[in-house]
Amino acid sequence: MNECVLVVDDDREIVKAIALLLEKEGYQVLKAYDGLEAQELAAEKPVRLIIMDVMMPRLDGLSAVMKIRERKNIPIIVLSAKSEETDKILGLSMGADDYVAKPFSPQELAARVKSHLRRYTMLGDIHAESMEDSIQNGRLCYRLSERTLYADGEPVRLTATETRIVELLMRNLGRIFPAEEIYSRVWEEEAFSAENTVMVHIRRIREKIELNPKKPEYLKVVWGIGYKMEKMQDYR
Amino acid sequence: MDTKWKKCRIIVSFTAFFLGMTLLLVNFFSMLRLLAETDYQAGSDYQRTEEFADYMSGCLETLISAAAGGENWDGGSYSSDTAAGYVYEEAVSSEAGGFDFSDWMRSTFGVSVGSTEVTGETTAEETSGVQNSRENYRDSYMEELSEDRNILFAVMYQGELLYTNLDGLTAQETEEEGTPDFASYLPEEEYNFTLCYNAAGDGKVEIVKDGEPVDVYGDGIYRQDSRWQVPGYANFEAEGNAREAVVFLAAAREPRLYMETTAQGTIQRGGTLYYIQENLRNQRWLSRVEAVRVGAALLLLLLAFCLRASLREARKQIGSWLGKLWIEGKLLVFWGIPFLFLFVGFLTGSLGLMLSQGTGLALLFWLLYFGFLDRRYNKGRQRSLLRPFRESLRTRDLERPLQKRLVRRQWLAFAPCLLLLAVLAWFFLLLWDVMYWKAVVLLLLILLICGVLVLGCSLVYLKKNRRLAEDIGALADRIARVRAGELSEQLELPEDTDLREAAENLNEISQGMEKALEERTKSERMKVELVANVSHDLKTPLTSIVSYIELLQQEEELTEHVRDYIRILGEKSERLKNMVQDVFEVSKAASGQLPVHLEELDFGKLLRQTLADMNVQIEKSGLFFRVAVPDEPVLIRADGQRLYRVFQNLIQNALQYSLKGSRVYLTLSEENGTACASVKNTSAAELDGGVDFTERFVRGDLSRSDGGSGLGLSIARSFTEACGGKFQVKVEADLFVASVTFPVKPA
Repeated sequence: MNECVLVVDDDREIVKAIALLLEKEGYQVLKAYDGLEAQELAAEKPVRLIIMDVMMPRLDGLSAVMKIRERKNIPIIVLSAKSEETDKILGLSMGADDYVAKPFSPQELAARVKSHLRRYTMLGDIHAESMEDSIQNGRLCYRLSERTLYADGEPVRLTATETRIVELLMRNLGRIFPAEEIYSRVWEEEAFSAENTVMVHIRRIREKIELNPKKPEYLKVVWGIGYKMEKMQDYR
Repeated sequence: MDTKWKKCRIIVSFTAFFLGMTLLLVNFFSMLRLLAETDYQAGSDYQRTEEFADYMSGCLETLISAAAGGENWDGGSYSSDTAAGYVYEEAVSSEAGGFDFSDWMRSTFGVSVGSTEVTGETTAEETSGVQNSRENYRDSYMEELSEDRNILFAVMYQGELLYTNLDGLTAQETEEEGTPDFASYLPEEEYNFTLCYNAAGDGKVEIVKDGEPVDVYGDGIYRQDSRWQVPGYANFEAEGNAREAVVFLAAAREPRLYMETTAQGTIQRGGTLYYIQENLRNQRWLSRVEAVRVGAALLLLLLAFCLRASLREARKQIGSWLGKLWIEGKLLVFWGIPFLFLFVGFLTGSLGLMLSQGTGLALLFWLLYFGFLDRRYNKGRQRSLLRPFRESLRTRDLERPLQKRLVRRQWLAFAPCLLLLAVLAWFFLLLWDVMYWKAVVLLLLILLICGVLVLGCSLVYLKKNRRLAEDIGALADRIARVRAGELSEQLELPEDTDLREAAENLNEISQGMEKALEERTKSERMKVELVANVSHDLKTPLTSIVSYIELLQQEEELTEHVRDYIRILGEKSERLKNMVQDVFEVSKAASGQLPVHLEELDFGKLLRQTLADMNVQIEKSGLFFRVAVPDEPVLIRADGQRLYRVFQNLIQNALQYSLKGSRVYLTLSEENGTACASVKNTSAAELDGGVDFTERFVRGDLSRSDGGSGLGLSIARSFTEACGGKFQVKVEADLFVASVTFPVKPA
């Protein structure tokens, strides 16, 4: 294993902390403290993933991402103190694969690193699979024949009810379902206290599939309307 | 009873006033006329009237000229007293070589009297023919006169009796004695008036009435108002042949009508004296009637005056009745008819006659009276047929831009000038060949020039005012645009216009506002940038703290109390993280830079979802939630994510600050097109009612020892307002009520 991860931030303590965390997870960590350094390291070493801060001296993170992206197709996670939607979209459109707002939870970051690396290494396998049988959405993949949801290529353990909810939502990516509809289609009963029941299940599914269940990316509540599975956009 | 009596009084007072006034007006002029005409000296004796004196004088004139053989039978008007009088005077005066009467007549009236000229130019045969017919006239006149037994006469010339209708007096009897005593031939009781001319040969008249001689000449000078128009005055003497005549006249005490039936039918003979007497009696009777009427009118008016309080009430009531009528009709009747009346009267020259007719005067008075009454009591609140039309015109006028309205109003002044000119031109054309054209043309030309001048002045005025109106309009438009926020535009008016300065001032105001606004926007932006920078600077060390705490937590060889410290550090760093995030959001919301994504959503569903989402926390809190949210959709337009934060904060607030074991009420109600969701909870700490909880960093308990950032309600308010809703917090004792209101979109 020992995949090589490059961590770039002008704050040495943060770099150290991330490095410590990732080393514990069994990754080999390279450290850089500005954009130029990161660019050099990325060119020299067999880096498999880069964690890059945005605001840095000499060369800022986003420019460095663009430069690196010219030659390498590895996953890049951008860190930023700015948490606004526009900053996130800007970062993703510059070639980053993921965006994590500061202050982040180290565990979440570690989970994301793991997820991206898995997907990166499994990319070939996924494409080899027959696409008709499965529904691909970001790091999630639902295989219809197996009635199984895969996250980063690993099967997620879901109960029968959860599986049916996931199947309904995965088959209709982006469509908003009112709680009553989910209830009647999954339980095949007249809805009773649908909101609570559905919400409990949604929360449980989130725990299993989301990297940060408190800030879900896939299974979202559309407030005042219903629930949906976000259709992830591939920025690459 | 009282009101009935009052009503009665009102009716009586007005009726009295109405009748009294009408009676007075109708009789006023006729009474005046009668007063003027009645011969008071005469009393009931017709012989003392002026008519009688005139008639007798006339008779005398005729008889003198008949006796003297004057040429006055020419006029063919022997039966007319006046004509005979004129001729007589002419005869007298021409002989006296004084005033030429016929010349005067000719020049004044264009009447041809011309007796002397005619005789001077006619041939001898014609003259004798004229003489014959003249004598025939005279004879037939004398015959007619003698049939009227009310007046007895005798005419002598040069001592010879020519005509008489006195019984017993014949021509033979008088031959030897000269002038006989005519009076002795009269039946005394029937004829009490005698007039004798020239009985003494002095050319004077002696009148005896009831045996008493009457003073005929006064001071002996004849004047316009002298009662007896008979010769014998110092300036009115009989001359020549007239002096040779002697005439005696007697009038009956009680004149009667003398009728005669002939082959031609019944003929009335000389009723003049009879009618003079009759007229006198009628007049006396009429004046008595008039006096009674005027007296009655005055009595009625006195009654009305006594009831003047009720009369005032009556006027008020009539005023209110008149108020119910359409103003157009009232104008026509109360002002139009009098105007027409006066106008027509003035045009035909019969205005005085019409007014003196009494009825006309009364009519005029009442119309004007009601007109004034109406004006007095109904001024400013008249019912009008044309009002809807006028109002629609006014509304239409108001819809137009200001400049158009002003210009249109000026046409009001301009149009009459045009009309006047048109009428003048029309007159000009109409009278071109009809009238005495030189004068008319001159007059009309002057008028036309004046009209053209007025028109020209109006046009210049109109043009100048149009310019002003345009400027005012432009200024008003510019003000409206400034109000709408377009501050960078400038209003440029030419140097010489009236509003140049006002426009410049406005420009400066808008420039100042623009500058102030720019500065405010800049400062707002700077504030947001500052907060963004600060929060960035806070987040970077926070990241390290959070990371190292996590690393610490993963350490295995730690004692229990160190683990406890680390747990506390973890909790507090989490809170710090949330606070930094909240501060950033609230400052953005306060500066109006919070992006909102508005969409149609079900308010009730949002509340149920929020509750479901926070179910775990709610169950852990030990509080009881009483939820009253309708199942049917309550659609509003808002940003779901933001609104979720609002209720998340509110519920969290309730969970955090409520009294343990108490109930929290969450209700959603729809009323009058607004949906109101409220969260009510009982506070554990005592609340200060005077505190605005939605202010930033304000908390219920002043110790700030709890876990909140103090921004929850502030964020809730900012987010609600950003979505277009209304956020309210009410505190009553320990009851804390937060309500969020949104307008409902129809389903």
